[in-house]
Amino acid sequence: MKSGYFSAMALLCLFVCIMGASAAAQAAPPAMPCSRANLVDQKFPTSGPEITHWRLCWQAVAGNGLVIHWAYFRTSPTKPWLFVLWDGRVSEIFVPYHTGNPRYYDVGFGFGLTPIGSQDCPPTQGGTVLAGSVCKEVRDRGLSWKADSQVYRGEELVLWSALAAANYNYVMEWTFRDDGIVMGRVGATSHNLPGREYETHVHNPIWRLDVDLNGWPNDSVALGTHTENLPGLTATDTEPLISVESGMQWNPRHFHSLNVSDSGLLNSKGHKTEFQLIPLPTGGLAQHQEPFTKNDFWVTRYNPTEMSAGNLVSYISPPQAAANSDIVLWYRGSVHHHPRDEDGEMVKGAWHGVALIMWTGWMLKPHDLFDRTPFYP
Amino acid sequence: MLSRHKSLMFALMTVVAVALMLGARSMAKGALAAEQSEQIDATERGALDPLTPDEEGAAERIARSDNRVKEIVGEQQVRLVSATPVLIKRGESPEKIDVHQRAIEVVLFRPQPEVGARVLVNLAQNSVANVERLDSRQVPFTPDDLKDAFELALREPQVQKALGSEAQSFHIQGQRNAPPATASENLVSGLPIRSSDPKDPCSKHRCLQLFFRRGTDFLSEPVVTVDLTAKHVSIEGRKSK
Repeated sequence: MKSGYFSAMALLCLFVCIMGASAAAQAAPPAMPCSRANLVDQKFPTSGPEITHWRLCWQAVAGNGLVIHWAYFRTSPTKPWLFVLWDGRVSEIFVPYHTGNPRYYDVGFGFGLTPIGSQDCPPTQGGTVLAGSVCKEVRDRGLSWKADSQVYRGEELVLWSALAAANYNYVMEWTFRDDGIVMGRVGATSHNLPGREYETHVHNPIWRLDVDLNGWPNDSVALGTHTENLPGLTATDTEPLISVESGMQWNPRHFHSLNVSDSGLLNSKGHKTEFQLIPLPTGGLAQHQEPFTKNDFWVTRYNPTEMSAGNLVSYISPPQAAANSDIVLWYRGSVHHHPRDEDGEMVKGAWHGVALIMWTGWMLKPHDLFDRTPFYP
Repeated sequence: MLSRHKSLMFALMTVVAVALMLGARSMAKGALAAEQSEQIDATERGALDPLTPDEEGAAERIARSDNRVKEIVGEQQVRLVSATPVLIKRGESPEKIDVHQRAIEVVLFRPQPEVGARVLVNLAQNSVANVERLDSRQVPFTPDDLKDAFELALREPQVQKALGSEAQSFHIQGQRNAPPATASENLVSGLPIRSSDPKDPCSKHRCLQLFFRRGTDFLSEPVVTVDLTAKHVSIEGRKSK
């Protein structure tokens, strides 16, 4: 009877351990400041057991359009949720025309979102219309990797909406991939400017990305820099710390990126986790007369009243310390629109036609977040 | 041997009994949680969820009745520009944030003289947490401004002539409570314009450029710039290819 008691206790302990581990794996998702249609929760792969998971809020804000809040990512069902983004938004869209005037500030009008329906967002393509103005698409994103006969196709969650900005529509797209990458794009489309249908211009969306890795304190930003040691055959990568608030130009030959880290965030191998902001320009990046367009990257300290990209120069004057603090990244992309016959034609004094969508954007890429990719067997 | 089997049976039965008991408790807890969750959904909204009309009305009322706000924008002819739920960072981690707090950023604007206020309203406490004065350039344009600009533009014979008998049929884009514009509708829209020439009043004033959409096509003329600050209308000639 005594040995039965010990056996029972041993089995009980084992059972409790298994139940405990199972409970940890099923840890409650983080509480979110949104609900119903504004809360998006997506595991990957979409079919089969979870590998990775995103959980986030969206909000429609007049002028800024589709804003993302509180993006959490989980690298495995047994790992804790990682807070990545407090707030991501298009802060301004600055549109100067080649003759010097006009110069538009499209976020300066509290434009709303266009309606979105099943034609924009077909359920057959993985689309779900949220609150009548946002499309959620969960879809195959093509090859994640390939190694001879081995292959894995990735998936992504895309939220998009369109800002109804007078003659233009700005499509604002936020992509959350199964591999932890976040992408932001703005697409300019609709009708060329009345009265200046043939004049070249540049649409400059400026994103404000309040990246808060592992919460907001103790974040730092480094400028990822590749250098070819010319003349010579070697190259080096460096990551100088951005110690004070500042603006920087992106140089494609240096593969510049803004690398955000948190002093308390390491992967299981003990490597410092980063999220790297990498521009994905289409063709190039413009600079204009206005001082806030002189730089492509900006790093500021979080201040809830500093939301407008047009005032960036004043936000860093005088520059405050930016290391080990609560930081905000800013990035300006450019769409160079040289009107073409495909845009439309003048018919009886009115412009008939539509400018096909032109994109610019960026990606926020994890570096040493996973211990190894979970998508390789 | 028999007693060993008995011991093992006893052990297994104990584990099964405990498992059943825990399972039943867990199911009961799950059912209770689901029930509570439904109740919470009905009563507690997320901090960033869209405002209900009642919440928006309350936030505007609280903002307008604050003495600091009255000092800045006064009480007459004050317009609501926006009311947006916001979330303020507190503590050191998201777990410290009350995800149901309803803090509303209300922006008010008085066109004459042009002055605005950004007001942070705590809806639960029926109070104003912060007030900030905005100069006119910091206040976003709204369909109210567009309506003013269109009314000014319509006084110009050149605009009337260009729009012809349809002049009065143009609707204002994005007006509150208006149904979404249809493709067949005549619509007037506007873009904020800021001149880079310091001699141009629109380098400092609130200026809107107006565009007219007839059906799906935008009229190439007239291109009208309205200086809302100076109440001045200028009309631009067409640039040809």
